[in-house]
Amino acid sequence: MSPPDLSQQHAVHTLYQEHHSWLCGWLRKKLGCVENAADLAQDTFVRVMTQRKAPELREPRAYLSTVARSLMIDMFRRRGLEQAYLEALMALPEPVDVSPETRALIIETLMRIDTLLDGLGGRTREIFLLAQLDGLSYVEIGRRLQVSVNTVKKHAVRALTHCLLALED
Amino acid sequence: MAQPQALDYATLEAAARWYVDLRGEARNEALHEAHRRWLEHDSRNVLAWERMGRLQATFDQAPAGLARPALNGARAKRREVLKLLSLLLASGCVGSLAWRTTPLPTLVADQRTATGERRRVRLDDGSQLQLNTATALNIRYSDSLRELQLLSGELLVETARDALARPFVVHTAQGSVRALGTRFIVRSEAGTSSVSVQQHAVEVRPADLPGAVLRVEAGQQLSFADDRLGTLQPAAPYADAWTRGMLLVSDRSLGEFIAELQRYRPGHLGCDPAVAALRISGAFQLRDLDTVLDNLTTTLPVRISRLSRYWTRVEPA
Repeated sequence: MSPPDLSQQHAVHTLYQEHHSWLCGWLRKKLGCVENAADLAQDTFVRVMTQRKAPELREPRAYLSTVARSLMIDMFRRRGLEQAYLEALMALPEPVDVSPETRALIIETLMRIDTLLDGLGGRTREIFLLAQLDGLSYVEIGRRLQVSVNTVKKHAVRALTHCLLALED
Repeated sequence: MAQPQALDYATLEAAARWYVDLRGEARNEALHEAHRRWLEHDSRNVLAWERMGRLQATFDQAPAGLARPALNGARAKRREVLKLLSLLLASGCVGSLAWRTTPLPTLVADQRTATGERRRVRLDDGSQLQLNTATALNIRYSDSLRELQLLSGELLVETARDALARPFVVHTAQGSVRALGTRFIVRSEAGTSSVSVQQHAVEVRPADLPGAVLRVEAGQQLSFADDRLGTLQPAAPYADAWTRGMLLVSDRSLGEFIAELQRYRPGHLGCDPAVAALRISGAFQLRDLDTVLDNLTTTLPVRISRLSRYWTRVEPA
């Protein structure tokens, strides 16, 4: 008499019931804020559900805290980007009025790009951003950074391939 | 849910190289011709090039002149962990607005029934659900979609007309069922899902078969796995009898019948293979399954063996 196999989603549900309040407590300690902790805990379970991966049931709390940690990193990333974007806005010679909606969309785009760039070396990253975001030609980039056009192209191919691989989902 | 095609490194790198080579070469006909040949050479090349298009689209959305300083500024900040921490502390709970705008799907509610329990649920848009025994689901309504995630068990859906005209989709581990009408049943079991349509139609999409879709009309049923669509069958009559607390079977094997009863009853309920092929028809009350089992002994050559409250077996008489 073996119990019926629990589907992975079923497992997620059990996970929720058994560990939700523990996760809230864990996040509260990390963040020092009840409201953020509750939001992050909820988003952690949403992430677990949408990933459709069998949770590591032997260590459910380690699994949940790994997911929560990556969401916390996203939160730090978003705040850092928003701050940096506002600073870039303020550094413009002319004041620019950006609506909150537009700003949220821009931050989302920057989040996506920033995540794609994770793991790229500093030089590759800079060459790539000069080409893709500032629209400089490879010749101009080579002149500016004092390297050959071929070198610039090599870095660009490497960065693009890196992003294409990361774009999988 | 369409699965992303797995593209290998070499193909993606080739796409990246084409992108770099073509940049600033709008008038180089020979190069464009060679690129066309590369695309036609292999369908994966086309997929890689499409992915390149999506990457380009992402960068196109970035604000010119601001994106690079913002990204570099954020990166410099990230190196200074302490500074970042102070940023977090300074922003506190109230300043977390940007974080809150995350378009993560919101979990609105969880619904669950115990073994033997049934429940009606009314959703925000007026749609009605009936949950059969041992059923668990999540409800996710967003601005663009009405989504249910059936984790286990069985569900009857009666969709209401939505003011926002949002599609109504039920996801199971094996795929998705999109409502094109008003009344249908979705059931999720180990490894397979099934849908039985009572009014109008639904569209079924297995999770791991990108592009595969099958329309199931009223009076039809369909089983599907994550990588396989079954064939359309006439719907079992009275597939929704459970909503009235009944189980109706017509010429089923005893083994199948007992497996069905097992769903509604806590503990183990087994059937000896020696009698599993016996045929059975009838209407049974789900609320009193022990009586149902006892009555089997008057119509079939079986006896009910009860070792404990949670261990019951149907055996040859």
